[in-house]
Amino acid sequence: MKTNMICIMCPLGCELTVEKVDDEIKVSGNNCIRGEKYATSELTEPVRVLTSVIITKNGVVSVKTDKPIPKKKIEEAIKLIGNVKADKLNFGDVVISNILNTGANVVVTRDAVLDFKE
Amino acid sequence: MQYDVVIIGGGPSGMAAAIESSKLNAKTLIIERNETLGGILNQCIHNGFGLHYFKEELTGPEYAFKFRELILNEKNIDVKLNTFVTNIDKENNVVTIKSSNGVENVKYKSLVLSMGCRERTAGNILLTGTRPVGIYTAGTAQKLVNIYGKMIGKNVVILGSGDIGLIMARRLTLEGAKVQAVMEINKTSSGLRRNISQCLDDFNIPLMYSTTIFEVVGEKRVEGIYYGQVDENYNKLEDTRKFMSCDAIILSVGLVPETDLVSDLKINRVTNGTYVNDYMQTEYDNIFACGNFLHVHDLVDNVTMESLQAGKCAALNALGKLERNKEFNVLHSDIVTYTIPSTIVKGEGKVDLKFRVRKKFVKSNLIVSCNDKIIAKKFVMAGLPGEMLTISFDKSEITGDINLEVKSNEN
Amino acid sequence: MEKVYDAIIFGGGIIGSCIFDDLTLSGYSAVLLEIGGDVASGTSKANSGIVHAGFDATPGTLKAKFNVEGSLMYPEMCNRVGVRLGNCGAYVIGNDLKKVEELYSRGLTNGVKDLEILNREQLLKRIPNITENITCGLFAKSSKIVSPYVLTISLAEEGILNGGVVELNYNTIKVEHKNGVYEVTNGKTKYFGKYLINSTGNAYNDMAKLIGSETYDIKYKRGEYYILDKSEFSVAYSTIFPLPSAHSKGILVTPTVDGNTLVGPTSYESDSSVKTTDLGLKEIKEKSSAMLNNVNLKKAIRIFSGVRAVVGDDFVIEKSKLKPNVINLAGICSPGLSSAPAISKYVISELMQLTYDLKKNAKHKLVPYTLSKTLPKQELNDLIAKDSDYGKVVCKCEDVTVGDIKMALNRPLKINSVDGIKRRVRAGMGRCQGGFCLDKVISIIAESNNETLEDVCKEGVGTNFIVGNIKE
Repeated sequence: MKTNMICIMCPLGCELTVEKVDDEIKVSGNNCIRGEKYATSELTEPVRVLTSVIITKNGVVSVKTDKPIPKKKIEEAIKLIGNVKADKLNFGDVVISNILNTGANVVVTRDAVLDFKE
Repeated sequence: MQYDVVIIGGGPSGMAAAIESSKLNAKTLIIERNETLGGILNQCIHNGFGLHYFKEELTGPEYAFKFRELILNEKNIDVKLNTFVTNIDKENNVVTIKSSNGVENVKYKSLVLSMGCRERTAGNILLTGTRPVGIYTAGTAQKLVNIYGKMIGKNVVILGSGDIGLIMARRLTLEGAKVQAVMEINKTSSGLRRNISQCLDDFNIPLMYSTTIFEVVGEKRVEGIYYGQVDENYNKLEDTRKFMSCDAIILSVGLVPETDLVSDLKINRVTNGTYVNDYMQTEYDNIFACGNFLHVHDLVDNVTMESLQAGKCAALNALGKLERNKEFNVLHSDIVTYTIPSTIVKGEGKVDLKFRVRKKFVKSNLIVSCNDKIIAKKFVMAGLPGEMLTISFDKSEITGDINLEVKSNEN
Repeated sequence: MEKVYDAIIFGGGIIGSCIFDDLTLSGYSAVLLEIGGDVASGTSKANSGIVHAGFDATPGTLKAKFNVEGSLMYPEMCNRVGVRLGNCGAYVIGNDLKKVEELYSRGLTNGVKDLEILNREQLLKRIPNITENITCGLFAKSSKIVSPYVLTISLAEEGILNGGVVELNYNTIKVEHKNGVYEVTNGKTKYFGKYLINSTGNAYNDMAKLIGSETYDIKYKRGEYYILDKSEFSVAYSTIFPLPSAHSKGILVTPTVDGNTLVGPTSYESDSSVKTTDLGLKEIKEKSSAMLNNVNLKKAIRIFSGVRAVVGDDFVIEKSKLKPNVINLAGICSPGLSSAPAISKYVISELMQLTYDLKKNAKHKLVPYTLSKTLPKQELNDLIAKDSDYGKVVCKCEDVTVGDIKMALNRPLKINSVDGIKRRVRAGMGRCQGGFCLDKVISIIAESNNETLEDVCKEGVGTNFIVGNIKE
């Protein structure tokens, strides 16, 4: 099966064609090695860092997964993050460890900026 | 109050300038109108910051956090939060500030302008139709969602494909809204392509080029829009008019440097910011400018690098160690829209010349020459209007005005 | 026994608010019922803000009579409630001297003083940016500018301060006449009154039907405007009109008392929807630039439109013949703002046959909407020392503080709307149009009124900014 994608590694925006032949991934249309890497990762297991916020009793903090997680798990992961109940969270706190067995932790990236009243 | 260097604005730009100024032992003050340092970074909770400067991928708040820590470790920096500058008296080198302590004057030897930018509004782009609730600039929406944890609509249309708009398309989708489309009046996006890919394509949000909102509909709350295509001259093509229902419209239609406090300085019509030389010095010897106040950046790392230079030169000036020599102009070919700096002070050292282009180009050499002699040459695979380009060179070779060109390398 | 008010006034525009205040000051009891979330939320918030000299109206009409009388009453009225009145004067410019002379003599007939006919050279000295087409003009020294909404709000508040009642978001559903007293209800709260005054502007006919009084053939005219950045103020230090047409005063360029420039209005027949159109914006561009050079519409910070109700060629100001003690005020379009105090006086003394004496019950003086940024440094420092909220700037474009916003929320007329704050103290009125301060203004209103962020409205029921928490 052939898949077309635009490489996002630089402004050139190469139009890549990615093809899986047996277990080998063939990339064409790229002008450099970065395009090949990008296409391979997008085809085998596209991953993304997920960021969101959590409403605690003390205010709204921001969080992220400390590693990229599989794209297909993002929908489920955001729900889990939404279910977190906490009185107060601080910078660096691990909110969920090893979320959905991805090996990534959800960590707090920002304290509450504003005083909060529910 | 008296400082060597007074910095207006405590976002990424002001923080970087302060650190470099402090390192040179200049007594430095940051004036910030918000309750915390970090500026817009605090609400940019997505990742992708710091790859160049910290060599790791950070979220906006983390990038701000790291800089706040650096600032705390500096001995020569004072910070005034919740403090607003009401006036700059350039003749007497005095800044008037307002805070809970009242109205006070601060004397400076060097002043750094790092007030960032503001978003263009519905009024600026002459968005016609009614004026109901539900029309937000992308930054305001981002603040309400990421700082307050509140939603501003369930069924959203985004006008303009600037980066914050793209980022908000993903954020709102993840938080439960339906983002129906991003409409861009131009044929290309002004946002980064990685954002189009990760924020729109990942969620199957259509990006409609040469398309704009014709009319807002709704008396109390936004009920929908009439939209359609525009021709080359941005005229609305009435026969393409269609209706789309929505309850919120987000505008990501450009940013404007906040030059209100210094409206008498010469303003560049392309960037809407001031002009600077390679010391980041404005036409006033003791006034420096950097960050989005000067020109809108797409990467915070570039803001940081530029602002370190502003902070350094501001400190040197305050300490009497900066000499303003003869300046040479930076000229450029037509594809280049502007350069920062726009002049270069005669002397020694490295210059990082930053610029944008009018349209996409591929496989070209960036060439800087002076009196027909090539000073720097750099091959780039491509350039886009939405992505800033840089070329560095040693300025000791410069003997006159320099010229920047983009020359295709393809036969 | 329920209280019976001397008058129930429907509609808190400039006309209703002025009558409400004048009745109260004259010692009568009055209640003002406004369907919107604030007074001045219809035509009175979206017009040119000009107190016309009165040379334009056809002699012998109510428009001419009340305009000239009203404009003479403005200085005293504005002074009483502490509202700024800008004495900027007005020019009518064009290339038809005959028409200018006509206006001049019409002005004299209407009783307007201090009119002056100018040639191109004289005009150039005063307005250097007139275009080449302009050969002559009329100067009306007594033409003035005012913030129509700050004035309306202040009048309503002065009325409250002196015993009147204002109810916002009051949607009247029934009006009954029993034993010489009118009973009015919105389904929850009833009011009783001897007189009914219908000053509901664009909604006049709807209200007339509820009352059972005369309806009129009302046409709606939409006027679109640009508001320009303060950087453009030098384009017109006085109000500049073109020579008027049969239908309207034309597209003008005028300073506002707050230091912006207003360009407009168009005049299209429309429904009552306040919207802007490409056609209208184009017309404004063409007509304003035909008159003045350097009208930089690219510096627009906002575009808006207002709809005015028009009945024939003149105001309708009369006692109902169908219902006793009902005053019909319909088609009060331009120059309605200029005429307001004179209309009010006429309604009270002639139509209602009451004693118009504004000093009789003027017990409490209204504290004006003085913005802290306008205070001298020492006074401002004293104020901040007393209340540190005045040192916390919220709206950076207009230098509005937490203290100013809280002041506006603790006035005689209670509001919970962001637009209400905007009109009172200008938070969000500047070039960023609330981009930086909207969240803060919402927070301050919520905190001050003891509400949640979700409760805070742009203006009126159903205009809440926030629809809930994320992930809901």
